[in-house]
Amino acid sequence: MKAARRSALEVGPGMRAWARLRRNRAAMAGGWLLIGTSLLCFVLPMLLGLDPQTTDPVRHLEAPGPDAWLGRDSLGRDYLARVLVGGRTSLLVGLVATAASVTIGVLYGMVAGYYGGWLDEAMMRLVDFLYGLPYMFIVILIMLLFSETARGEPLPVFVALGLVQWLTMARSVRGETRALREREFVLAARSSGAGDARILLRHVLPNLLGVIIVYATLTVPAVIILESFLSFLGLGVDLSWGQLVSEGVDVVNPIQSYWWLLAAPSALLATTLFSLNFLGDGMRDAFDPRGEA
Amino acid sequence: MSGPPLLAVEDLSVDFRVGEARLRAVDSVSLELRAGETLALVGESGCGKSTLARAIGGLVRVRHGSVRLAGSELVGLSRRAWKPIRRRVQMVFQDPDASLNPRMNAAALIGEPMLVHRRLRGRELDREVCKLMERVGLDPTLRTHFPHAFSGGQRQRIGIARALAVEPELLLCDEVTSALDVSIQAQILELLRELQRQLGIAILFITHDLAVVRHLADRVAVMYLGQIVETASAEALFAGAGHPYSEALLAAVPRVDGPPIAAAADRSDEVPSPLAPPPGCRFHPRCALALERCTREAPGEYPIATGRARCFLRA
Amino acid sequence: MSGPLLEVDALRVQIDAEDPDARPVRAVDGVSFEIERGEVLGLVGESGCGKTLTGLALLGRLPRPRGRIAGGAVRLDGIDLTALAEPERRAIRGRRMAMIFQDPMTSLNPYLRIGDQLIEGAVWQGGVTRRAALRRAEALLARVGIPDARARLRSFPHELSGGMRQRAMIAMALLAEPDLLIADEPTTALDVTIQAQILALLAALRAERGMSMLLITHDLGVVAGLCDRVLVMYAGQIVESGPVRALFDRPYHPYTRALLRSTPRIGARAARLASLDGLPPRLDAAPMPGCRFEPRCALARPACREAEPALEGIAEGRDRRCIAGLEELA
Repeated sequence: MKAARRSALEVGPGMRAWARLRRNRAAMAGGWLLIGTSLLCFVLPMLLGLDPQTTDPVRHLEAPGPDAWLGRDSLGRDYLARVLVGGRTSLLVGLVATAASVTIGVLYGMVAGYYGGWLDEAMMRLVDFLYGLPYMFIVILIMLLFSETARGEPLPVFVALGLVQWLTMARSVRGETRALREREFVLAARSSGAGDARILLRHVLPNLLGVIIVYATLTVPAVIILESFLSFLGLGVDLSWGQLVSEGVDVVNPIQSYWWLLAAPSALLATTLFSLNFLGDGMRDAFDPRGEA
Repeated sequence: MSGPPLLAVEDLSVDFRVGEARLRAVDSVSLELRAGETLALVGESGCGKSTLARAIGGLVRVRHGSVRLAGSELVGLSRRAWKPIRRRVQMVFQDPDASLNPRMNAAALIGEPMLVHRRLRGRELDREVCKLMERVGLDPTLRTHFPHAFSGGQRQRIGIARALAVEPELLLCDEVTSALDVSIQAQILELLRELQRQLGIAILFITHDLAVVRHLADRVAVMYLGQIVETASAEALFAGAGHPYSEALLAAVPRVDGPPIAAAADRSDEVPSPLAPPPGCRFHPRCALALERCTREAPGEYPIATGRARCFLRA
Repeated sequence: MSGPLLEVDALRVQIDAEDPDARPVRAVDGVSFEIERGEVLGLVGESGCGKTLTGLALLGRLPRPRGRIAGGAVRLDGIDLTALAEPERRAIRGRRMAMIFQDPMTSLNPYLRIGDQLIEGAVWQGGVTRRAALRRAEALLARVGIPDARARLRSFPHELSGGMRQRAMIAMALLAEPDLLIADEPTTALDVTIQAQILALLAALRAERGMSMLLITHDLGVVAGLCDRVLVMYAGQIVESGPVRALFDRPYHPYTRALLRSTPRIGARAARLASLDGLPPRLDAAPMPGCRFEPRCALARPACREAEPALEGIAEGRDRRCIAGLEELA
């Protein structure tokens, strides 16, 4: 029994934060919801053989029924299939764009924060400048840079969103790195003779994980909302929740409300977003150094 | 203990920028340390003792002056040139919580210097880590544990083991026992004495606690507002009649075997800010023996019966 | 008014763990003592022994939400504070007991001027105009040795040095003219020369006001300088008590003896400082039979593991929690 359970003393601060997170019911609920939604979107369509693309104009705007659980859209396409497959895009966008912005932001922030001096000044002024530029404007510009054929593909959206989101990460990583640089254990490592690369990789980066994880989990929902907004404007991906909401709005009229067209993607979008927020908040609490025993 | 000193610091100054002003944290400091000797560096907060240690250890930039380790000059060395020096000079820090990376276990922490300098790996590295842990009185089976699992005294031992990993000749100890309970402090002090006996390392021991100085040091240097105001052998310092600041320090410490503290509500002098040190002798505003001369002229270091002191009256 | 000023009777303080399944920490486990009027009592021990929490419990300032008094009574002039409702308790505590801490910055609001903070309590308690309170505050600041007191009333805490802030905190505590001042490591964070001044100030205030003090510290020298009697705490319990001089010259408990022997003295270099191996017992562990100090005690014998020794009177005014013979502790 004693050998089976890894002693709490041999476990680093990361594992203890994880344990704290597991005790947070809201965060865990959010986490399970996310997993559930992901499974729905990625696995269910394959299992059920759903087809989001085949059009069937005869059955356009059909209400939910036994062979189309969420009805059909204005082109007769199976809406359940569209919502689930569209979810893949929204979730992927969130993940990939966040991963890109994390990578860029962390590298940039670590270098600026660790070396300081004029390099830090220059790098941060660039960030300040970019921050000041109108956000949507940049995104739209980037989107327009891609050729017509690429429009509607996910790649331009990844690029555009990732390029804009790294700024916040860079700033907080730089601040945290500056603080870490003066911590005694970093001085001790320098005194031991460790080189910069080793210090950044072994001493600074692992202690940044808390900040990184928290910001990442809060960036994902931000990116998803942005993508939805872009799609709503017609600039996003061909098939995503935002795009579906946009299509649903198009057919709204006072006589017949095709409620399923708006309800389904909105509900899934909202659920995903607040799951991410619960999880993100829970992670922040779990990693908060003041919570350390 | 004869021959040239192991460490010779001459006229060393270190500046910091504080907002717009320039703060001279260390002002023309000179001192010497021989192999196998313990020199205590005493002073209150803001006197510059930590900065001095970090300057000697190559962790802060020096404004001017010289630091020679067994004859080789350390000031102005490039980062690359410092690497072999790091094997000879090591530092142990005050806060056992802050000086250990919370995400590395004991084996990784103690092994890091050996990895960097002696290029040890795998089983050989592990063997050396165990040996070091035993030497400082830690149970080697605990080497997979993380810092939070250890007590303050144990963490400090890890810091000492880490410093010893490269077999240094000089150990810079910056208030290493100040954060510890007295019974644990006693262990660490005795450990340092024992290590010095066995390994012959020289120790520069920074502290504000005069009782610890009495117990550990061969010689003492007293710092005030960035300057060394007295250097003497330990016995001589405690015998008295040195610099008035040293006298004030000795008188201020409440003693376990001493008399009850006399009631006095009117004494309220302050430590001047290092940004604006008093003219002339820096201690003169607080000195009971100050002459008119002391307000104008800054005394140099004069030899006195028991060593050196920065005071006109004792010269 | 006869009888002791403060009576603490079998006080127990518990801190609940973060993890709801874990055991709570029994930080103070059955502590009893008395403070007479005009007496300065020292409470010494190493970190984790429960001395700070004892002081906080007296004032009702235990850390929330997980700290609480789990048993026992605290009687000020016969009135049981633990049995009172909160508003009445606060009134008594505010007026008759005050506390000063190690770090003045946590007691002083950095956004308020010193003068405003000083009079806050007095004006809130009622019965004094703002102007009158400010006059008294100014007089007190001067009394505690702050030069230019009137101007200082308008200063913010960060404009004062550490020593001055500590003096301001003492003035704040004194404004209500408390009968009992609880000082928790009041000089630990200060430089040696400034510490000497603050200690001298406390000695003077005690002499002129006849105020009682509970001085909580780990520094034996400070206790020797200011206190009449001293309590030694270990693992949440009192292990020895007595008059300061007698106790330090001739300790009757192995832990006290070890503490004294591991303290380096300015007067002379000891051949070797005694040290204690091991660590104090974990206070969240299940209660074990036997003496808590036994694992680290040089005089331990089998009987020590069987039953926990009670705190017993040994001689005039001296209690201890140990079964070893007195001659073994010489």
